[in-house]
Amino acid sequence: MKSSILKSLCTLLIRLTLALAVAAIVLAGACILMEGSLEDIMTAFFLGPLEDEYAIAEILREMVPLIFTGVAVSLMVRCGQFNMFVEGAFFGGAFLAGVLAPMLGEHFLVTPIISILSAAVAMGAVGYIPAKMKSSLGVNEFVSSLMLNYIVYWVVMYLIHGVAADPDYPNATLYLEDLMRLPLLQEDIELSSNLIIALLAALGCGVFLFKTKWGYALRMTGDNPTFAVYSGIKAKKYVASSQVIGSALAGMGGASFLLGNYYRFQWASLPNYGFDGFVIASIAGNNPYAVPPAALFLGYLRVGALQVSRLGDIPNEVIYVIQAIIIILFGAQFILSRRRKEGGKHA
Amino acid sequence: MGELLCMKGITKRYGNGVLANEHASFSLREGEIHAIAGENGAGKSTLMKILCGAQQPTEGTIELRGKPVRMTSPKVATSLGIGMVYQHFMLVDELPVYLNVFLGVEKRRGLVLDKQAMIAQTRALCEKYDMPVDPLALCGDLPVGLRQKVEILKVLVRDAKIIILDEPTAVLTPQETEQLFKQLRILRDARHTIVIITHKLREMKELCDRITIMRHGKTMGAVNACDVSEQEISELMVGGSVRLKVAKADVTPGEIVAEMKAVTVPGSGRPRLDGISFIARAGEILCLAGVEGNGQQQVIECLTGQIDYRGSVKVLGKEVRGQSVRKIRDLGMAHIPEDRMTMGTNQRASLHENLISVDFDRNTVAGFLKSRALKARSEKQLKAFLVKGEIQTPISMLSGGNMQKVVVARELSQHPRLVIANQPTRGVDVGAIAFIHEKLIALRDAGCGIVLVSADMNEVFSLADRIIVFHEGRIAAEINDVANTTEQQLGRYMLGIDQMKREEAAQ
Repeated sequence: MKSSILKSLCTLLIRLTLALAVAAIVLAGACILMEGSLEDIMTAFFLGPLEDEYAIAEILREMVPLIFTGVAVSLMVRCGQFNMFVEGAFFGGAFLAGVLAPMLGEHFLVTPIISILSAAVAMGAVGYIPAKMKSSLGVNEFVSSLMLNYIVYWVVMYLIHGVAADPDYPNATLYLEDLMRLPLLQEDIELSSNLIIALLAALGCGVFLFKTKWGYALRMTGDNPTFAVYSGIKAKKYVASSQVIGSALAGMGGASFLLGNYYRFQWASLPNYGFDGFVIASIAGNNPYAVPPAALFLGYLRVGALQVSRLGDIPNEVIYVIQAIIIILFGAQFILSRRRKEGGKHA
Repeated sequence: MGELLCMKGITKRYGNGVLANEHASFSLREGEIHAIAGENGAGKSTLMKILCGAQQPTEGTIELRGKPVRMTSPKVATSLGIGMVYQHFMLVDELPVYLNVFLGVEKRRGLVLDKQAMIAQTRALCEKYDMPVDPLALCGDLPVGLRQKVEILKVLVRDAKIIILDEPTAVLTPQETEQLFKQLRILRDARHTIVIITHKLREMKELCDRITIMRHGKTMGAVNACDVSEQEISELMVGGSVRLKVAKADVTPGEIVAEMKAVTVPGSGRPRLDGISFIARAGEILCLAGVEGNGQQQVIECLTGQIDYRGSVKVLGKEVRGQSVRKIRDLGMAHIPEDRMTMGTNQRASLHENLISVDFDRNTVAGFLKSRALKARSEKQLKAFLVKGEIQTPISMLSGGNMQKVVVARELSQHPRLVIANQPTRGVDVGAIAFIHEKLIALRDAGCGIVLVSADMNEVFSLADRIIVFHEGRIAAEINDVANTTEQQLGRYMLGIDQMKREEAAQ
């Protein structure tokens, strides 16, 4: 048992090293094309994120949405559900928090927490639509949730251009006073306490998944629905509830992120954090406990990329290429290991 | 007769340290049917995979007609005339038989496939070896027995002289098995050499010339089939004496535990179940016999709440219709399913997780699993049911027999009042069969009702107190006096040649 944990840790390390090596190679290639200084770029990419406390705080800020969406996706994938509504729920949750917090007024901690919980409940409720369609009618949750993202997006766009908008500030919600937001942990580097909520969410989901009867039933349903039904587990219930919980977590994430790092909601497009959730989940092997380290890794890469783009030699697009390659590296490994598992069972 | 093939000192160690073969040796004479016998996990399949190039040995040599050869890939083995028919068929359901047969070695005329030539050759082979397969039929439409013949044709078309069959009869009915044996004999007479991997004692005696017995990865030697008794073979396989006959005490049947009244389940064409009525009582083993696909499966599905039906099905006094699986289980029903790979176990979970799936929610505090207590219980169950493995071992690492013991351990530890056992010992080694039989008998003696579906005549006769024979969705016979019924008579009922009259059945 111990050796198997050690082994999987080793493979993870190897993959991380490989990912970084690939990043370095692509960067070097871009560097030659763009005639930049290789040394400067490498230093910025690998050491830039650790340069000073501002850079480190930037990594920690990056981690928050990644942890929330990563945990949400992990939970749903564990139940065999590929629900894309994480994206829409994150967006919708942020918007709701942006609207609710000013309505509730300035109450230390109370306002942000009520806003976050309401966003979670509301997004969980919306997430019930594809969930129920899947569990009762067999509608593919992947497609329906993808469509739902657009519905939520355009509804928010409509509201933000009208009723929910700040009359003095076009296409945004009202200004968030300090007491409506989550308190800062570190004033000078603007490190918000939403990181703590994110870590608690990851921990809570891990406990839920591995220690409770619901988590066990959810995992059995995801691994093998036939086995679950045969054993007397109500598989449909878990198929639906995993998606509702996942959506709620994503909504919670959007709300926490907004109330921690922004002063009003004014996103004009879907932020893609939901899709990042799938990357994080596959790096973490759908294990909630492994989500924060995975988010740390991706956050580090992103801040490294930011540092490189500040040098001005390398266009931002190269960074996206590197990200894509890393995703393929992890995604492919994820799929391979699954197939190997299934292929090996007849041995 | 000279030696055709010889494997010497074969050792195979897998990456995870599992030693599958240890200095195993094997020799084959031209034109014989040779059985490789052994319990699950004895290393039979690995040895044969090495022979046909699918696996590489860690040590050892292979000689073909006296010359050393290296089977570096299945392609090399094919070119040397060695072909394997796997237990799990590898056919493209959407393609006709002849294209499946020639898949990868298609005949061409210029750029186009020479369909006529392929059809003709397939047909010629079918006639030569007496296989009733239509080259133009779609593989997906064929029954299991015929699909297996397509697999054999695939090997023949590649000019295999040595044909290896991995547990060929595991999926066949007694009649299909008979037919397969006939064809294998024809192949032998046409100078083919045949190896079958099996653990069925009767087949070895009936079909084979020689038997190589394996135990714990080693070969225990080769014997002539006519020189040994079934008892001796099984002793060599498990290394101790195994009782084949099960001792049973007389028990008077008690209350009704399962009851069907005029149950009909529609199917495409004729109904799958057509007005079935029977009762099963506590303290008896009721066996539902029949050739596969004659309705036994549907009876199980009705009793376990998996399908809808017309009529009345009662389990432990309650109508099944509209009840969840959980509720039926809570009444005291345990179910050992036929398919342990997808239904009976979760292959991606540990032994422990597989053992708690039916009652985990009764062992919780505020929603949290009582982890320590459950683990201790799982450990106890593994010990009591002689499963080789730790509670955290992934179940996919176990051999088929051990896996089945996990299923049986879980189901029988629930203090059931009714056990539904669907092919509980299919593909399980001799030692585990005896063990599972003993457990079932012990439960019966303790007053539990058991409904058993089995295609294995031996099992039917050694366990059943009463037999109901199914044929085409109806009850062809109800046999109360099992001891005075012969296999032949049972076979006639199963095939629908004979039907028991109503009065007889009632009496």
